[in-house]
Amino acid sequence: MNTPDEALVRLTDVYKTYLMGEVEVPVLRGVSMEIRKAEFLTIWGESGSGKSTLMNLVGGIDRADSGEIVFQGEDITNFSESELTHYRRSQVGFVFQFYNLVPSLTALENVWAAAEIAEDPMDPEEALKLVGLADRKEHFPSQLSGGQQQRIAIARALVKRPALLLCDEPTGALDHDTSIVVLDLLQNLNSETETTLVVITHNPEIAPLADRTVSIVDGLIQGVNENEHLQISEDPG
Amino acid sequence: MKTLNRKLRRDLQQSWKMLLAVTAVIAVGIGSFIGMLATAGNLQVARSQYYSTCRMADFWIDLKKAPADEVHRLGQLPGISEIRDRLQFKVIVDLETAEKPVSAIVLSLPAVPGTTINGIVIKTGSYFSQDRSNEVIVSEKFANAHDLELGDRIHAIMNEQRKEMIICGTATSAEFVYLTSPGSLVDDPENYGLFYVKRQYLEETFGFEGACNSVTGLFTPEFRGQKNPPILQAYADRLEPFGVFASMPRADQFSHMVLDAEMTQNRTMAFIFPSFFLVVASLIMNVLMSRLAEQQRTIMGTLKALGYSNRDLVVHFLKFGLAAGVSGGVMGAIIGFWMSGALTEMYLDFFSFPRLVNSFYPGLSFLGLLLSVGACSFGTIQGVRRVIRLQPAEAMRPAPPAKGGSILLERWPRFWESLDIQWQMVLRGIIRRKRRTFVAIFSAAMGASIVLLTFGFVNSMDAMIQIQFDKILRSDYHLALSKELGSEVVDEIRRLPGVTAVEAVFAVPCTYEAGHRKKKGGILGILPDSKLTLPTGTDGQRIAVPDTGLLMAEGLMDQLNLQPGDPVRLVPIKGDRRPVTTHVAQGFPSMLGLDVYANYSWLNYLMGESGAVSEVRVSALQNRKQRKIFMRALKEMPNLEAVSDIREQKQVLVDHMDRAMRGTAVVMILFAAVIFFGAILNATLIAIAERQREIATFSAMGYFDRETARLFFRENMLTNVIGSVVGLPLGAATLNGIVTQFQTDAYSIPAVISSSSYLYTIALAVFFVMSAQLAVIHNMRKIDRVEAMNLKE
Repeated sequence: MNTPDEALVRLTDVYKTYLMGEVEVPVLRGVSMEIRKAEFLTIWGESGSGKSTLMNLVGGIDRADSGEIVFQGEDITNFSESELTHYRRSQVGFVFQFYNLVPSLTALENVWAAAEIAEDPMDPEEALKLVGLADRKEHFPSQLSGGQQQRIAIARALVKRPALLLCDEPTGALDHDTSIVVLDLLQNLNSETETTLVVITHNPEIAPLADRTVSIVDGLIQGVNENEHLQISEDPG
Repeated sequence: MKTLNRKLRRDLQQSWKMLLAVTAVIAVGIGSFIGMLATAGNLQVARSQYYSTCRMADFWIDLKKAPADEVHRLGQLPGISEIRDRLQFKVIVDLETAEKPVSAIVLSLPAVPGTTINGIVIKTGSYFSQDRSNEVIVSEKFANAHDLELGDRIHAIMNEQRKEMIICGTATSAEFVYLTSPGSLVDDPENYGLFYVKRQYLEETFGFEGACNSVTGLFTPEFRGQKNPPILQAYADRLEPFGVFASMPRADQFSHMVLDAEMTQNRTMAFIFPSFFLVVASLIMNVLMSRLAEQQRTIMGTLKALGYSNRDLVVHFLKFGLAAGVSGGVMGAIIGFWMSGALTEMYLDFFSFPRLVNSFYPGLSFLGLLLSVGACSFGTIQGVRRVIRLQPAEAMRPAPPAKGGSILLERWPRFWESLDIQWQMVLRGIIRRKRRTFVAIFSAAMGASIVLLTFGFVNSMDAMIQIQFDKILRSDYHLALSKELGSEVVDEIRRLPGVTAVEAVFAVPCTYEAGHRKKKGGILGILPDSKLTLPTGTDGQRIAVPDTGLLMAEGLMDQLNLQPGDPVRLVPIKGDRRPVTTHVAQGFPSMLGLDVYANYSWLNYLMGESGAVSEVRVSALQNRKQRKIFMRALKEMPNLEAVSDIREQKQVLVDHMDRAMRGTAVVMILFAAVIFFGAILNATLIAIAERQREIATFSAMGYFDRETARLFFRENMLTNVIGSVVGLPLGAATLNGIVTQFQTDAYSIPAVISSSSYLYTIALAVFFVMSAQLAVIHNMRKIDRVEAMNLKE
């Protein structure tokens, strides 16, 4: 687990407020932090703390109200729609809590859907091998278990060879044993491919698995911990 | 994007029923667009071929009598390239097979075949031989109607002499693609014939040696196609000393004009009628796609997170539109080809063409395809826009719950509480899903307006026939005289067996002049206490003829820019043609052409006549024997020019309308049904898909399917009945518009819709909803209850 100090993403004073009906709900209230190259970072917070919003902003699938989010020297908050699309296409991989696979596409086709638009993708079959599901490539999502679906989703994120892999509660919908498999996979990928890995979680037991943990409370960074390296299979939480 | 195309294909397979419903609506719209334009195209092609085969004239000048060589000499004008002089007369034909005397036109042709202007196309037999002078070529339809064969002898009263002619052939001519007998509105080949005979034979019979009374010709190319070329007026002016009755360019020639009007009507309708369908299809597509996009909003958000751009996703959804549009366009082209085939076939009943075939027009089909794809794409883009514009993070969050607040009706507790829970659900649903409700109401309005338009068109035709034949014309026969006679002819006819009433009519064909405006027409002088001719407006109201001045059709007053009381100059077309000035006493909404009535004695006085009779109108109550004697007497009357059997004319018209309208009406109602079914099925299939859980829950609570289905039924019934009611004024307005569009100088149709038509329209809408309900129940039964209950939120 190499932890170079160079920042891949640097957030400065980021604000985001949602309009819920007629009520303004401030979700991020001046967040500043960094995501370092090739690190495994967990962002920990209670439900509603703003952690998912933070991930959405870093991943370019939502826009900040103010502040800077600099990815490799470029402030993505100034990006146009098409620049943002290009950013997501080439730099970011997402893994969502509910997998978000396209139900009418097979496992392999779901991976292809990402590979097709990437500049230098992996072979999708190779990506499926990485997540250990090469034999399920012709299955539709409805024919796969939750853990399998999530591994397909990981393959889909990986196939683009993203610089940044963002996972929002990747084990949130999975049982204990399956969660171990998925987290193990993510950790191995991080160490083997040097992909920067950010995992959002509300589970305090997952947080220590990472190189660092950022805690977020009520839209503010509460603390950053450098963790002792733990092996997932030893104590999955 | 290949992978997304696979998703598209599978999504299409899942929603094929809904897409089929849209496709059907589109196909009918595009089909009628192509069908009507192709029909106009078929007529156009047939006409040009026919015109060039027969060398159709560019102009006609009818005159009293002119030396043929003078006609040619005076026609040496720049702009006129060729002239043909000929003879034409109206005659009465005595056919042994026909009880009554038949009217006909006899026209001269050169003794040897050549490339003559207004030539003929021989259908059976041959052109004149050199053996006999009295050979005749008979119009094909007339020969068929009377079973005339080659070598048959026919007799005609020509120049007060009974002449015998021998049939050597049958033919058609471009000049008479559409031919109606005097007073009739439709082609009636049995009662009106065309006879072509050798020029010399006619010259000798009518004393026209070296002379002519009809001039036709061709313009040089630069004048051809001009609506009213000045060169024609110049030529007519030169011929004026020989008594010009009328001069007209091709645009005013009756057969040409009717064909033109028919093509214009088809082309106009091709743009009005299909637009109903395209708008509905576009709206249905909008609902369908907005639902699909909403259903797939998480997927859309995810794909955007993966790096797909808005454009990629719009393109993806547009392919749905493209699929519906292309299949609609292709089906439309097929329907269009079938429809133009059927319409073209129908026109063969009205028009005589040697060759009128249904052709396939690739360009038109392509245009239809573009329109189809355009309408679907527009609906698609409008439908998916909102979801695609969402930020991916937003799209991946579940849609905010639909607004749930109380609806306005609930503030009226006495009403609201009187409803059962299902009605409350229905009303809430209708009011909350405004866009869908709008589309449902709009589609039903379009469907109902087409139904009402169809019924209304039939009503209007019936009204026209009824006013013309039951209110205005109370007589049984009109006997037109070849020249004006004294009142003794009336007495003579009165004495014939079975005759119950006889009235003299004095008709004055003339040109009206008001300021710089001119119009040809005719004044009908009728007795003030006439029982057989009762001027009646389009509203069915009788109008009394003023003692002095003219009772003029409002349409003609508009054309001449006249108000009641205004002076108008009349230049009679026959007689000494001395112009007189009189005034318009009153206007009235006339139905048939540009009618003008006047008091019989006053009109006689105005024209310097007294008791002149140009037509006799007869009412008769005859048994077979009396009728036979009556007709025999008419056949022997020397000055009779034409006999119109009014009751038979009515029957011919009714039969014609029946033939033309029955098929069209059935097709129109079927097309309207497509709109109703398309819209209802689509709306309900979407609702069923969205509310599977609700349906499964009701089922778990112990509801029967039919009870749950009642929810959808009530919703559909309510929106469709409201929509149909909205569609009624729309249909009435469209009928008015179309009737105005169809108005010509020859006739105008009153826009009449009977109250039963309104009722039938609503009843039909109710019937469509009830039929569609069967499909609704069928689709509801297919829901997997357990799966639906376990659906993830």
